[in-house]
Amino acid sequence: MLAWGSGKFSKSAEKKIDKVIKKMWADTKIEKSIINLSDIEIPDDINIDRKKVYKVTTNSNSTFLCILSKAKGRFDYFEYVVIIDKDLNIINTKILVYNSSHGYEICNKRWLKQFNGSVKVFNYGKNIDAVSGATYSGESITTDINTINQIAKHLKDKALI
Amino acid sequence: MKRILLLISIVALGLNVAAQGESNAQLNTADVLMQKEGKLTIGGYGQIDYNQPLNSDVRSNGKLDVHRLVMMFGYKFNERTQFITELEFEHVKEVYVEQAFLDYKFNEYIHFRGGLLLIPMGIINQYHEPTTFNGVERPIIDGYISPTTWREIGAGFAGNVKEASLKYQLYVVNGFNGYADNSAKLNGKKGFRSGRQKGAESFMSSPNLTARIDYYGIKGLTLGLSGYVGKSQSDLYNGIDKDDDMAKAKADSSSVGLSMIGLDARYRLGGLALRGQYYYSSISNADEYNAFTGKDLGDSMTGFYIEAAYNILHSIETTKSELIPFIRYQAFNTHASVGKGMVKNEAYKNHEIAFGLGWKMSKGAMLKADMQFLKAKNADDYKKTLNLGVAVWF
Repeated sequence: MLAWGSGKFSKSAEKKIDKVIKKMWADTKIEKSIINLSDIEIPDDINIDRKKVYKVTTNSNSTFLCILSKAKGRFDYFEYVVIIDKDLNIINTKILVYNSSHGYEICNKRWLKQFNGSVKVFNYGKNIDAVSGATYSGESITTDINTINQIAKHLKDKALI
Repeated sequence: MKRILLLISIVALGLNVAAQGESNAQLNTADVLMQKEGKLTIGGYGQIDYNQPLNSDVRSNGKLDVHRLVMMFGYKFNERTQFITELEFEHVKEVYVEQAFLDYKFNEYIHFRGGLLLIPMGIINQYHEPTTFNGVERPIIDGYISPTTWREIGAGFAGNVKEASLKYQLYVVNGFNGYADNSAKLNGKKGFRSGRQKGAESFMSSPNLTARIDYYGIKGLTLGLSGYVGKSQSDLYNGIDKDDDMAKAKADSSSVGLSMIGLDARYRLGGLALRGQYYYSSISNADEYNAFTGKDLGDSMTGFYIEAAYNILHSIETTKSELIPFIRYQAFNTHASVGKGMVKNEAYKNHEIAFGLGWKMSKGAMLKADMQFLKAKNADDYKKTLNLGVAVWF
């Protein structure tokens, strides 16, 4: 049984990651390897709970980080992925599994596009538009992506990407 | 009273667990399990209102009311199974259950739900936490046309098709109490409001059906379409011989058919928030119902509102608080059409202008102030009310 709220991710989410990657780099051969966060020294103020990091290498030798994460809406967790390039730009954010019937509006692709681009601190309701009916999920994913950006920066500092 | 004390102790226990989590105090195994897995979610919302009618000729007393205080609990049994409930104190002294349902997820597209469900009609019935709407009071059409908080016991399916940016809900639910104990509950002024059974020893003579689709494919915009069909319930059906046509005809006269649609839109762009709501209810058999009960139920009811609000602190990066002036126009008529031989009551045709200011010092804490100007078609003047309120959601 998969532990709800733990660092484990659902099979469905893992499968969907591969789909996302395939769609982004349709013609290239991709290599995907795990970067185990617990093997790396990460400052205490960066919360690595419910995060799983893959390094993706394309056959043109470009590398990307593919960070799988769980964040919590009002009553339930959702699973999503953020893909980040070597310059720490977010190039794609996608909700993989959304369980709750509240706050589903954050699955909207156009809304998620707001996170694309160079690293900055995201602020729900300011540089990230608030969403009607998704106060909790919207705020939660915004905060969580800020953490993902911190993790990505740290991995770059350690020359892991 | 015992019930209330029990409830308070449960809540206190829950808050204690949450508080301990933050302070890293010593926890027992159960506490650790609960917060580690996050299985138990505790929350709540409340609104404390002051309504002051204003009239230049007549003195009017104000009303001060702990209008609603609701404790919410969610418990996740496993990855697929969840129970959600809201326990409400209304006007301090009335205790209600506002929702209580079990949700089982087959997959993302199909969840089964059963229990006391919110009827998925309109915006406010589903999003009634007071920090999510502007103005101290809910819009009037969400009292008279869609009788929020509208909930009945039922079961059905809900799901999210995110590839199509669609969410749906489909439930079979119990209907309104139209007639029981020799008393008719439906009337022209407030429509079906007094007929809500709220899952409290409710009775059913024929099930009702309700559905809703939300579309969220355009950034910032959510569109909703709600529907409801069914007959009101009557206790005259109970115990009648299936061959007794007379008794059946009498029971039929104590029940009406309701078909209702709701259309709504919410749009946000930067600090701007717009929303609109439209309801249309068609009532069948109202003539017979009125003849049988002496009530004045109309044949159809309509209502709509449009609202604009803007957070003037939106562009100030350093603050998370919001200052939101808003303006809303609404119109409704519970006698939009009436049966032959009946005269429309012009007091039931109203329009209202409301404007005010909300200060959200935090996501879940808000102070509200507004003025309402309500005018019935047959009235000479606007009825003016000043409203001040405290709203919280956590």
